Amino acid sequence: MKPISQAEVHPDADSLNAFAEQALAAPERERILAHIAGCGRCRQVVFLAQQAAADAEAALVPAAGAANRPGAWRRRWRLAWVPAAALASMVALVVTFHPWHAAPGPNASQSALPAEGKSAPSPLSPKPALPELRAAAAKGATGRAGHEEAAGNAAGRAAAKTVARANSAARRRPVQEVAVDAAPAAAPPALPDRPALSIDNAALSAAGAFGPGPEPRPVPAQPQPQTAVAAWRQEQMAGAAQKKAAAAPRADRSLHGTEGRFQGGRTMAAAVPRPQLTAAYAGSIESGAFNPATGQVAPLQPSAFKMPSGLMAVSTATAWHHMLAIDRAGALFLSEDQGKNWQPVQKQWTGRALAVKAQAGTSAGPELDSVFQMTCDNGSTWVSADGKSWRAQ
Amino acid sequence: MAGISGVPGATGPNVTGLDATCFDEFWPASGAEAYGLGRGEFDRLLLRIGTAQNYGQPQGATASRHEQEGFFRGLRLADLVLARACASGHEGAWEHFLALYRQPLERAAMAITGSETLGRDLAGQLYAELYGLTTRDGERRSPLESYRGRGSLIGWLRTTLAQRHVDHHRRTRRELPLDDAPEGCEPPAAVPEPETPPADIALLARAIEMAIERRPAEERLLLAAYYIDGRTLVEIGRLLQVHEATVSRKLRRVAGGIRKQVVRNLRGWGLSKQAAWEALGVDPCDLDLNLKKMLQASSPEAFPEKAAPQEKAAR
Repeated sequence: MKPISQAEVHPDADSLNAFAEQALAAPERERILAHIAGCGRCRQVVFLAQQAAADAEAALVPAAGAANRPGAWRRRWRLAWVPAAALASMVALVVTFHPWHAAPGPNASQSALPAEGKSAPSPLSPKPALPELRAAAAKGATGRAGHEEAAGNAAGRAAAKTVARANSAARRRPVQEVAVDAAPAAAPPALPDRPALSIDNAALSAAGAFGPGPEPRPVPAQPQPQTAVAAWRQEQMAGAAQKKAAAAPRADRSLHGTEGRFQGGRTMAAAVPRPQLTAAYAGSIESGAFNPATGQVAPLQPSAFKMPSGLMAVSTATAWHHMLAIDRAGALFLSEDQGKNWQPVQKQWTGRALAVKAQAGTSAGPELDSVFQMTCDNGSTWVSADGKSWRAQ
Repeated sequence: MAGISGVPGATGPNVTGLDATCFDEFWPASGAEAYGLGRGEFDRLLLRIGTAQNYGQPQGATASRHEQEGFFRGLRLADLVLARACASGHEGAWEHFLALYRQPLERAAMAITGSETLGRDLAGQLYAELYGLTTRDGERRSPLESYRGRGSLIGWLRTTLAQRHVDHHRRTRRELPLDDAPEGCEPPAAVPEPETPPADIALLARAIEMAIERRPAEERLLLAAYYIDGRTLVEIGRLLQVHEATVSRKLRRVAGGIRKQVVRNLRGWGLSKQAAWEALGVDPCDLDLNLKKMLQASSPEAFPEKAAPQEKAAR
């Protein structure tokens, strides 16, 4: 094809403009395109007109012009990165911590019960959730594993929910801080059930139990302004003390010391004569069932003892120097040295022993003939004054 | 106040039933009445434009009623009526035109020329032309008569400005004294008689020429705009209404397609595949090729007609 002079065959301004504005029908557009492809003059005209249009758009409406230019989507997106990143971070944090805020199950604290053989905190206490919560908090918002651990922990969820509702100010703090604070707030649900005793109250109550003594001194209420963090720290200290006590030999389990650490009143505890109820009170501390008003002692937390049979105790009771425990096989053991040494008790009952408890009135003295009461699987109940001799009730 | 009833071509094609239905709809939306344009003139104006452009269809093809209606609906009627009113010297139309387009036109001229002074000069010259200061056969002529409403009026004005500027530049460039001529315009020194290139190189040049000629128009436009004019991907994308990344991809595809076509051509002429691919490694300086000429080869039949004569014939 021989190139020709194109001086007289250029499309007019209307056609070029219509081409640039995509206003031509396909056949005519093809014709214009074919011409422009081979005509430097018309290409220059079209490009100059396009450039002028782009400049005019940019001058008239800078923002709109920038948005309409090719490639503006990248610039818009680049600007959107900041809020998008912030939003993503928020979503990540919410996803990480949302399970804690979800509605806890009715037995949320029960699901947090430790495995048998481990140190046993109060069943109502959500303390087992704390390590996971703290671990998740330490990992921060990015810790997916921590999230999953925490997500599976109903106690943590309950704790977080409680704190989230109780302490709205904490929500305004960094999320990790809230998460740390959320854990101790598990304490409030447990508080009504656990003995709100300081060491001196316990000692005085125990002393009162020996005789007609004064009414137990009212338990000073926990300082209400106490923050969730402080409560959680106390819980942590108590848990650590219990673990240490559980791991130590029975004779070394200075429950006063434990309690002293628990309430921070070691010196006061040392000033009080050590009552005979020490071991029982230790059990009450662990089981959370000691009633200072009645002197009744609930069974010790069974999992704290391992019987000579090699099995863990499922039920314990303590009165005076005697401590009774039933292992998983139903065998009864007696300890007269506060759980240091155990001796099997000859079976004098029918059925399999299930539970043993110290009856009400044990504080009156060992001369009663029914200090201990044992329940068997056949429904029979047996009583004993010393734990060695049993008779049907 | 002058009306535009005096627009030449008051008589023309007859309005069919379909046209009348469409025009009933177009008439109030165009605002033609404000410029003294009667309904009959309005209808005839649209019909003239439609028949002159064959309703956007190729010459010789018969546009269906649907295509005709689509063509009419694509017209910028308000701009068209304003342009015709200005061309006929309607004062109110000129006031409106100046209020709308004076500043944009000057800005466009400055952007096109790259200079405020040159831009104002260019815009002033165009105003004079638009106002119809030039006469032909004793009749006032305005370029606005050539506006047919297929694109926006401001776009048409920009394109007209660009045409004036490019034509002026090309015209005056030839008039530069030799001392001031830019590099590349120097008269060629005595060129020694070119040696006859080896046969395989001549074959390669012919294969490249054929490969480029066979490319579609859009691909040739891409090659010319990018490699000859030096336009950026953004500029090309803006013209074709595609993203610059699309232009980049198309360019790569076109280059690859040309390379394959060259190899195919060479193999069709008896070269082995290996020899054909090796031929592509020839130093481009050894090739006697003018790619600019190749890409700018345009069919003379593309625009044998000009809009003005066509309209004139229609009148």
